[in-house]
Amino acid sequence: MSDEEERPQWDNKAQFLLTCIGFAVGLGNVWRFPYQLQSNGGGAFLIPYLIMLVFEGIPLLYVELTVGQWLRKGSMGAWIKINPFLKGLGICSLFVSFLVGMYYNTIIAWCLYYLCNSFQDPLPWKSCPVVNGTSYITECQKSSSSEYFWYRETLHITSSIEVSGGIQTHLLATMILAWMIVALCLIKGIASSGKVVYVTATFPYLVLFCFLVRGVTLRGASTGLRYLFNPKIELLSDPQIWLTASTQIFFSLSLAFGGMIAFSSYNPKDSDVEVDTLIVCVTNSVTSLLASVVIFAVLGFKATVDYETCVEGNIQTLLDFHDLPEGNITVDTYDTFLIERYGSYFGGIAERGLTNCSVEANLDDGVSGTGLAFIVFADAILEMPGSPIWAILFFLMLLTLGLDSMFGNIEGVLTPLNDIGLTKKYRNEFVVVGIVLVSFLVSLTFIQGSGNYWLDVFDKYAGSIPLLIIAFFELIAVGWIYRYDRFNNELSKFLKPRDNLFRKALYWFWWATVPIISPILLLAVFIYYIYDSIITPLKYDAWQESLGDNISLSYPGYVIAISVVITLICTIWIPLGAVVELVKRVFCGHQTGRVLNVGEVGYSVKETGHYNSGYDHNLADLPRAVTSGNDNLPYDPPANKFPYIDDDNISKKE
Amino acid sequence: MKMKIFLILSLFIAGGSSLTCDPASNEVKVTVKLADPSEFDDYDQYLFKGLVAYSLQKYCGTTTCSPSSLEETDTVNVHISNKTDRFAMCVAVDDCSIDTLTKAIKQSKPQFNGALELSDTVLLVDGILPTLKPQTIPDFPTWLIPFIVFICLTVIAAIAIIAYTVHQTKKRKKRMLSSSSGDDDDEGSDHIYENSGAATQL
Repeated sequence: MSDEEERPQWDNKAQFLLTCIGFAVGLGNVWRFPYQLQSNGGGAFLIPYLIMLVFEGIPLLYVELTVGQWLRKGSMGAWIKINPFLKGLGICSLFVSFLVGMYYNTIIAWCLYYLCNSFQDPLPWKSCPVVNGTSYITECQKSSSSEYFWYRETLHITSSIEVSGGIQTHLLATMILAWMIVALCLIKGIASSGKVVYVTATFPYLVLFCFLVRGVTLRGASTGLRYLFNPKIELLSDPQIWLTASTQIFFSLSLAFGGMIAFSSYNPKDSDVEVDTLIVCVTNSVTSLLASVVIFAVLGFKATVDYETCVEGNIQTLLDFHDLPEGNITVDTYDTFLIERYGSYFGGIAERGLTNCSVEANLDDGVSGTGLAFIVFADAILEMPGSPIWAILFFLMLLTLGLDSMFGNIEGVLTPLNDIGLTKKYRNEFVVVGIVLVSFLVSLTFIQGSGNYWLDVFDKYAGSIPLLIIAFFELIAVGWIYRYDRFNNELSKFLKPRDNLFRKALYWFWWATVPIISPILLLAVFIYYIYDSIITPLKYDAWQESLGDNISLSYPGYVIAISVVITLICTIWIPLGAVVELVKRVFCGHQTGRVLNVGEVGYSVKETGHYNSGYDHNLADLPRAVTSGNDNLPYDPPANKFPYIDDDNISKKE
Repeated sequence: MKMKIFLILSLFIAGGSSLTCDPASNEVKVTVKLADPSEFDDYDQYLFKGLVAYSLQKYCGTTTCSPSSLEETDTVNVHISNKTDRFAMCVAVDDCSIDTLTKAIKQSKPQFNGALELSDTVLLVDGILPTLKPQTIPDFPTWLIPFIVFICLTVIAAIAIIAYTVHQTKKRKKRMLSSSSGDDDDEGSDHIYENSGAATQL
């Protein structure tokens, strides 16, 4: 059926861009970047961040998008075409996308649960449950109502990773819904997901804008923003900050998943990939900044509200002590009162045993990740007038942010499987449902009581180091194994001509970064990451019901073994693939995608009627005689597929 | 000399302590958090006395109190003393222990709040923790309602997509059957590969 041989295409450029932006812009932009920005020098952090964006993020994305667009294959097919020794690289990307997709959808399930709980007033995390009519549940009292709702009522978290706690039915329900939505959006491949991203990629911006307007008009917002952007220039001399910046930009752009390669493989060949790269990278960073402003405006508001509550508690104590009527001391006159009566602010606090209230201290309790979204921000929303609406908007935004990132993850599995022909026998719809079903079954791990702990394990070991390794090899593959000059020559055939200053500047920019600067930077990040992983003890924060707080526990042996297995699954294929190829060449004497030299007449000429132009390509369109069995070819059977190289020569020849 | 007096006075003010009621004389501290202490004037205090008497009569009417005479408590038996600017006062009832008094007031607290037009946060009685509003547990978990809506929407979307696909395949089959030459018909799908024409040139 020729329909399946023909590659799907995007309906228009906007779909492609929105899909890439949606994939790059994810939950990390909202809950990781603001925290990184604030704790690594505030406004000064923008300097290393932008420098790393230019020298690491943009070149890496450029490599991925061009490779996909040029070779019209997902990660597996593309890297095999670049060099058959790299067949493992695509497999690694596939596994990483698969593993990350599994736990990422759990976060979407959590968002769905919170979303469904936001349709009521008052919001369920506003107050602690009452026991015996006179007191609150101890766990809730010791922590807070939002923490209780997150840890107890949503996660039903156990006290350690070893205690399973059973599958939580309410999370099972939302998980099923989440996977159903993902399956539906991807059921027709990019034909369906390309339409959905019109909504999922743009809706977060709408919500961020609403929150921006609401946020900056709240009292205390300026305190939060000042705290966020306060530049600590002296921190820039610390190399840690630079490494943090490069780590942040790397993970922010969703690189090395194979998703970007897959998306650009559906592009027309002459799509302006350089400008596309710039658009996606710039949009991603601007979104991060916008989200930071929103988050810290709201956090500043929350810190101010907490400060006022703290001060009011102190005021009550003072009023009781001095027998003064209500209203004699207000939040504004609190400081002056203390100074008048006790000589100094701290003297007064010490003498009366008051708590030292401070807005900065409240902001210092920096949180990132799920804690930020589901505890701190949910708590802040309670103080806003009309909180259910803001809660609905916020969790819908998180939902759409996560959903289009899921598309990238699943596409990173689907496209390579399709390209190597493993799934050619089956209808695409069934493949999607199959992948979703398998992922769903494994993701049941994350909705048991200890699910959150398992999610952190997967995140640390599948979602970080393997990505760095894969990205490094991607750069080396293009820059050194295939050689960047050959790569550039290929690209110049279908990229825009370099006739103006902008294009010329970009040309030299890619030359400087892709083979040289970016691999060095990536290597530095990788070494730092390894070092950091080694020195941090293998511990995790476990929530204790009796304490209403986290304690630090060590991972048991079998969990460490599982994490090693996870990292291996995602990385071992690179050396393994090279070894398999070596064995094939040495022992069997044939090659996948054998290199043809100038003038060499092989089956290729008879079958396809063209020859290679003298470049040492790996001609993927080799005849079937070379390998057995048609269906497992890692490349296109020549008769049905338009050869990807030498379009110009062919038209000249005929 | 004046300075010394001033110093002593200020020390006294700074070192002053809040009102403490004498438990030996069965006094219970009651605080009324008002901005203007004169709002709780003598008339309100008389009403308060009446309420205390009411609460004791009610409490001792239903459960037995140790001196059974408490059943007939009247406003003359209630004594208010040590009124401060906070506004706080010490309340004592003849022959009534602190325990009984606290229990009686706790039972009738809503009436106290209502009659004086105060609330649990404004009218504080030592020894009584404010009763917390119990969570109304709905019969049907509230979150399930939007959840069911979302599930239904998803199922409807799934059915729509399946129906559309089936409809498309039927249409294509019909077209393929009706056209005699059986040429490659791709116009139904949007997967037109732009360069597919060139392949046939080779």
